[in-house]
Amino acid sequence: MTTSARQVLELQLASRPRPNPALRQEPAPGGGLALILPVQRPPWTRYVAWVVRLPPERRLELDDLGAALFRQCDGERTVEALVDGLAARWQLSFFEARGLVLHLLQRLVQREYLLLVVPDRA
Amino acid sequence: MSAPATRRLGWHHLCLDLPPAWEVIRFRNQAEDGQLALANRRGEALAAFWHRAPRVPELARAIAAVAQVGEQGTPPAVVPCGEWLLHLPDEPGLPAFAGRHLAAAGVLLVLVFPPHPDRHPALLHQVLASYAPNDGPERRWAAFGLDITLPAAWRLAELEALPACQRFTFETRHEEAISLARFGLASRLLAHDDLATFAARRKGRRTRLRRAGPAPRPDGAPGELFTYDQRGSGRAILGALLARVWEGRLWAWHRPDCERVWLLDHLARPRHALADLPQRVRDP
Repeated sequence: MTTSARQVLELQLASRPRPNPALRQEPAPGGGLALILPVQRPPWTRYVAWVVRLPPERRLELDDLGAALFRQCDGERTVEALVDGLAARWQLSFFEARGLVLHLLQRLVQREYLLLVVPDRA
Repeated sequence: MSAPATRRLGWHHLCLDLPPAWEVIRFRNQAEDGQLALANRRGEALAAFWHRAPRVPELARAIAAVAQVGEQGTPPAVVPCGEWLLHLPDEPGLPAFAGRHLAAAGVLLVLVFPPHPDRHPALLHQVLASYAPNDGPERRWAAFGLDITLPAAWRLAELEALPACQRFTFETRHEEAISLARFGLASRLLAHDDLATFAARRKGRRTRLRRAGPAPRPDGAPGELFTYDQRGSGRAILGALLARVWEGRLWAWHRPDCERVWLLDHLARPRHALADLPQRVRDP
């Protein structure tokens, strides 16, 4: 592993995920959590959206495991803390827990439900 | 219960006692020319390479030549460390190399310790001293939390290492198979199913499992034994139809204390079946 790869790994673990401020949360059945994000579209798409019935918001339901993880994304805890918490709760190894956490975070960040605060390299 | 100070790694040609936090992150599953890399959360800590080398190579010169690439000025020192030849640079930013020739297997084994915050000479010597050969009639396969000892005829054919699901599959040249799988998040997996349902789901709809009775682990963990029938591979024309039916055995056990479920699947000709297979698996 090169030094840059190690730096990337350290940055990844030191990042702090936090919810998108525009996000609404609702309890979902089975202990899960529904994430609802308003969709902002350009004004000219308003009529198109009305014709093809585009929903005004996006919705994603997490199961209880995902919901528990999401609730810990408060902008204070680092990714490493989330990984350690999951590993301790489920007796997973560090790399197993990291795989699960990063998989979820990646999807939530890509869909803008979460924001990732990356520490300054300096 | 305190955590063990080391954990055994068993792979092609080598057995090593390593810090428990070191996990395999990269591997090439070839007996003649392969590699294995381990890391902890702070980065890669060890890489092992092996190559077929029927003759004894000039190992000291080879290590010195490789080490020379990274160092300027003085020629690198290569010193014996037990059966190993070791180059341990003074500069912590350079990798350390250790190599030995495994005459019985005709293989050159090289360990590389990259620059790592946790690397220190005592640890290197401890790792090298823990080496045991793994080329005998019984071979140990220990990685990703799985640990099994099998006769040499059983070759590692497939490896799946996903979060909360790891699986080794071994095969013989007669296409007999042993599959050892470990699943995490056990209380979630078994929240709505019992062990039998879980095992049947994993085995697939085409296989009809029969409950053969309880099979607790030696430490008392609850387990069950299932059997099933499957047509073995035939080598003749229309072999798939003419081959005899083999009885497969599937052990499933649950360790609530470590949130794991294990499945051990054995499909072989009756005369090749390993009677003591469950005892060959070590779980923590």
